[in-house]
Amino acid sequence: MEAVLPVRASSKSWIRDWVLTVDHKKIGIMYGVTSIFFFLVSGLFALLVRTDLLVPSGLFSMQTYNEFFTMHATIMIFSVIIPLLTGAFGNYLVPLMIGARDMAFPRMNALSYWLYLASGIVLILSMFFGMPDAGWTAYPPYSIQSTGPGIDLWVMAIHIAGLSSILGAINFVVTIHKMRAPGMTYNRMPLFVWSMLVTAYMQIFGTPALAGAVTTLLADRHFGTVFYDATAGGDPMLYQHLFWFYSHPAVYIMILPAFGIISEVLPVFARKPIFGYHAIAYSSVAIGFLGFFVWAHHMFVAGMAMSAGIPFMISSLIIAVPTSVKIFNWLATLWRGAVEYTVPMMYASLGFIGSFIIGGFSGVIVAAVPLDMHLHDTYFVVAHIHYVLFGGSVMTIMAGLHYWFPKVTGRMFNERLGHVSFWFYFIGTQVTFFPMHLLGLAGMPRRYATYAPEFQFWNDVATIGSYILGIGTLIIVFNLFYSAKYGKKVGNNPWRARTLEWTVSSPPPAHNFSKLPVVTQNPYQAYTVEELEGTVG
Amino acid sequence: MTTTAHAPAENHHGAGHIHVDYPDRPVEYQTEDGALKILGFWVFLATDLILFSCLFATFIVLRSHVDGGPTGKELFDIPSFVAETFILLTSSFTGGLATFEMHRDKRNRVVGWLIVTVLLGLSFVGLEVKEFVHMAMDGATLQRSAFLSAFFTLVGTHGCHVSLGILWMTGIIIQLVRFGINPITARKVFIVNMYWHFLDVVWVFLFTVVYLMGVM
Amino acid sequence: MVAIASWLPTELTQMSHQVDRLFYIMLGIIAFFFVLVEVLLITFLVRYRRSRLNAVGANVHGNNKLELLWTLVPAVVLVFMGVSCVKYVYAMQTPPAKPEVIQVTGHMWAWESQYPNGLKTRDDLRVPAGENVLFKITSTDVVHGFYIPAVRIQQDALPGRQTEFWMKADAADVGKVFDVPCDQYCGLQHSLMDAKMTVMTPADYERWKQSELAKQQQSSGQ
Repeated sequence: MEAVLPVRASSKSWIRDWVLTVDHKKIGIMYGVTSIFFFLVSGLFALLVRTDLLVPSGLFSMQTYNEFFTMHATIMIFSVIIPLLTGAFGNYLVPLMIGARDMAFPRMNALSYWLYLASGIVLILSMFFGMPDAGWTAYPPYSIQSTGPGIDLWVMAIHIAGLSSILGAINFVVTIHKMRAPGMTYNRMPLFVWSMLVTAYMQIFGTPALAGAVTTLLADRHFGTVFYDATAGGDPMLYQHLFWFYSHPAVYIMILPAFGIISEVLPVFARKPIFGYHAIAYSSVAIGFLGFFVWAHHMFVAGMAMSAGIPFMISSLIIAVPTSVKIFNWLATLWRGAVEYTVPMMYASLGFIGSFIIGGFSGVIVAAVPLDMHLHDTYFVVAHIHYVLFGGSVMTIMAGLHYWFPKVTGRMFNERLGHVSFWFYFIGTQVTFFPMHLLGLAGMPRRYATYAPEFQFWNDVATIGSYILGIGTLIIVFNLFYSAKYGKKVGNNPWRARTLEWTVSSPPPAHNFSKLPVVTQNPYQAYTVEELEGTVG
Repeated sequence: MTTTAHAPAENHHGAGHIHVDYPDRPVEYQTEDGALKILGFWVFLATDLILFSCLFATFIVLRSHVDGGPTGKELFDIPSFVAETFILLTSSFTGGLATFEMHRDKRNRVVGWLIVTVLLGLSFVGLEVKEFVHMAMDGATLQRSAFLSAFFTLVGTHGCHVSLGILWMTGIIIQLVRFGINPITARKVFIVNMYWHFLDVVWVFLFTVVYLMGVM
Repeated sequence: MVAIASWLPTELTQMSHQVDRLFYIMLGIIAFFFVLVEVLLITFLVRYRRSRLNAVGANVHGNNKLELLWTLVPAVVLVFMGVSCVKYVYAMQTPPAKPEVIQVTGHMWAWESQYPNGLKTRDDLRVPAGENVLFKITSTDVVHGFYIPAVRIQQDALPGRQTEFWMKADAADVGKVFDVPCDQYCGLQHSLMDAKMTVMTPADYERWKQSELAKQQQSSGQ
């Protein structure tokens, strides 16, 4: 196996160390730093969107507003959450967690990163050539009529991101199936690895549909095809089917790795084995499978017969079952635990579980066809996706960043600052997104640059909440980047965690393991008092 | 470099030796790297299959949306698409013969069968281009109707895949001539043949759904 | 002082009364589970915090009975919710016999309504109270969303397709005016695309249709 590993850079030159690297850990770090940069860009767009909505008439022009919400969503989904969870966490952790020396295809792994970076740059470039204004969904015919090269660059960015995503997913599937350390059966894999495996399969089966959707869009824009031109027999609804066939699974691509992170953090800081290992692992598989049968719930009012929505309503309700299985198992993990209030634990327990369930429950409401007739495309849906993607995914990303920070950098972040940032995030999330439920119930449509005066109060509350989140983000970024350089040094395993990455030095050596570990049980075993109070670490 | 049955001597990485992990396996699976890449390519084919499925779904939805323009029945020339089918199926068979000869370590025969496969592929693409040009001359362009947009996109995507396969296979023939059969070139021959067979399978569906159901 | 909109708007139709009742039932079930999870979460976090007396967690790996319980209970509850929605779907979908048909067409950025007598209005929708009205909805350019919050129904307006829904306004709301926003993003002035729907008595409605039509014919005849 060693023979096929490309020669590692020994020179100290920066280009050799980072630009030409094929080391999964460095690629993971590059993914992480790049996507945090995009997180700041996209977060800035979010703050601008919220600022615009301070007054009913809007502070900026309507065109500016439309461009800002388009960029916010596109960057957040394709350049932040997906690459941060799969590219950064997945790349860094999966080989370490399964006891491998690298991914199956290290050079393709590097290619995935550079494609991802290219896609992000193209997306940023699109802002300067007539910023895309068609929303992240880019429904035709509007996206075809919208002029300027902005949308073409947007499509190109989606293509490149999709390719990067597919290559990354192939790498994870082969790595996880083929490169596990001796003794690591599927039922001994860490739960994060389970969730990454399912995520990778979802990317493989979903992403090509997105490629098909945006390619046909591009063809309609430039090659004169008429896929979505109703005057020549085309059908705009077809795009929505193709788009959501990817983009609903994409929501699970953005939450399953987060579920995996939660399953790692909770048992460590509850000082207890995870409750229901198999139930949590297999419910991920169930979500991955069911996730492909719910897409049309985005289209209940899009021109299909209302009754045609019934099967999709039922499947969308059923998919809440494996999710609630996870929630109850996590709660049971805390039960009779010995909970330590560390920063990652705060984000994972109160932060994630406390917020995410609101997104889960509002999902049940919008899945019901009769209720969606009212709530579709209102702020209720905006509240729902943000409780899932912010209260769920981003909250967990913060848990994960703090949890693995000492492993990646060999240093500890400032815990006091970490707790302060948590409370900014937790309160900010509720203040920003909870009022959106009320706006939606009252009938305020989404993607509105201006609105009726009776909606102002809750809009202003949400805007204030977004500023709280903005401050929290700055604190987190400062804390992590400052501590990476000046934090207190830590040993191999400061958290006394059990997965394999904590058995090697912090940061891990280039080849991860000098001797491949032999695995005899899953990593979720009971703690002893001696182990927790010993000085080894 | 240990136990491979072939005379590898050099490989194109220029490293001199190829480390063989599993001497008992077929030559393309003898290195760990080869086995991983073949599995990886299977997974890639799954993504390509989804892409074609989407284009098929698009075509099926739009096949009746001719917008007063020409229909499949008027456009498709039966001898032409039957010939295309026959040629492509044959090429898949000759590609299979190349893999067969590879396992018997007959380099020249492998090269020979791959050349035959490439030539058949070229004539397939040639016939398809001719068909497309004819249709376009008759005014049946991809701009004419949603049916034609979907038709040209689906069949054209397959044609592009075949063209890419021809270039790829040509590159592998050159490598075979230069380096002979070793675990690395063998893996490449094996993978390009997986790709080629996959395109054949896709064509069987194209033949049925687009052409046969189109002329019926 | 402007009113603060924080909850469901006026229930203009019998259907919206029923759908709101469904909403409250589902909200009640969800609120129960929401409180259950949050209370358990906070209780466990506080009760089982690590201390000298509680130095390590219990050696518990799972419990199959519990797994079964929290798989089956949510499944039964969710399927119950789904099934109880079905009859509403059919009730909303099935138009009543002999409705007043109003053709609604979305443009960038206005709603055009065409009445059975040929009258066309822009952003000015009128419906007779107590009578069944069927909207047949389409678009001339991009996708729009024809949404009447007070009726709790919307359907997208798509070029090349026709969607529809029906309503019957309560007589109690005669004289009131309701918003008809576009809620499917349609470009620059999406947020300004907002028709007003006035509920009239059937007699007033007929009179209005005739006199408006006459006015329009007069002005186009000049």
